[in-house]
Amino acid sequence: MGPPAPPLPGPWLRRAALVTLLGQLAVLAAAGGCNDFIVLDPSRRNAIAALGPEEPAVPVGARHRAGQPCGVCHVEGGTAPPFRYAGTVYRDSASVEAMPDVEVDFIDEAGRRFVTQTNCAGNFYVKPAELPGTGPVWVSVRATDLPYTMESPIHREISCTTCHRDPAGPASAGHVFLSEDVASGSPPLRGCGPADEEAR
Amino acid sequence: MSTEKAARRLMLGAWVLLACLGAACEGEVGPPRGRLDLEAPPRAGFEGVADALQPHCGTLDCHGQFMRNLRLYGGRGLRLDAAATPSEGETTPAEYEATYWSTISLEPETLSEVVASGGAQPERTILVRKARGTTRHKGGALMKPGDDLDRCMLAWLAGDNARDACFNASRWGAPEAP
Repeated sequence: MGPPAPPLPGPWLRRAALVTLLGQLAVLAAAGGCNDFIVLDPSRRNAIAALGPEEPAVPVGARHRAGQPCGVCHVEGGTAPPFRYAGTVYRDSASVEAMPDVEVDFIDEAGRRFVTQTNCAGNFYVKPAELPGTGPVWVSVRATDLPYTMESPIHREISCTTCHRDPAGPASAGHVFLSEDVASGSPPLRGCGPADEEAR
Repeated sequence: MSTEKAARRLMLGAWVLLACLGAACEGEVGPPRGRLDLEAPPRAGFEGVADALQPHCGTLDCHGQFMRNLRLYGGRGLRLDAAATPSEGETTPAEYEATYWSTISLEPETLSEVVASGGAQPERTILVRKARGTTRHKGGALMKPGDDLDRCMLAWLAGDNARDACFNASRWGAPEAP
């Protein structure tokens, strides 16, 4: 006969272990699964759901979801790295052809400036560290010598699309575009190629 | 005392408490008494104030939105006409009118007291506190005591019109790049 078996834990200990396990399962369920541990408020969750699925042909990254409100996910405490500003630039007010290689120039009240470029999908973004502060910020877009400047400042919105969605109406100025003059000599449209894989 | 007796007493006590609560809620219901007279800052010349507010407060990402209680309309922001857009046209008379009513309806009693006292202690109004950032405001501080927007607003609350200050505030734009 060997040594006596250790005593089994008392019923209270087993009950405590069961309660702990159930609690952990409840937290996991509330977080929506193991892949997404961020607990979102219902309005944010609904906004993300309203975006719909990703385009299968476009990899998740700087080129995805052109024309959609980036700040739904790319916000402090959101499901993707936060942006300070982000959006998509189109050729003109009538077309929805996204414009690559457009300079997007931001300047804040203190005179701090940050310039970025649209990628092949027409998308651009500014990280919080690239233009620190809390606004307001004035922005212009340019592909030639003539910039197209937005008259009003941006105060707090991350996504251009929030105020610049289609169709234009009383509460929206329509999509962001490079020039009102279609024949103004804007750079040619181009598709995305291997060189764009690394572009921001 | 038996358990049954205690339960009966407890139930009786609950009914007495409920009756007391019902009596306390009884109030006088009838037609409104009298009429409330309030003073408002002048409508005449408000166009200049509205133009000054437009770039600071009335952009589409702030108070140029339908869901705001302080709702500012304008040619560069929220339009009143369903066929208009923020990218074209000047602010219309109807938009100035709607912005005026929205602004004075925000806190009518307090605004009336400030106007009646000739604009004294303007920080009594949430309008000034929010714009100065002295109370929590998601848009931060948009005016400092003595700057153009501040002088424009305070003159209006005092029944006056600081045309130059309002005009300068309406021209607020990007600083020169360094």
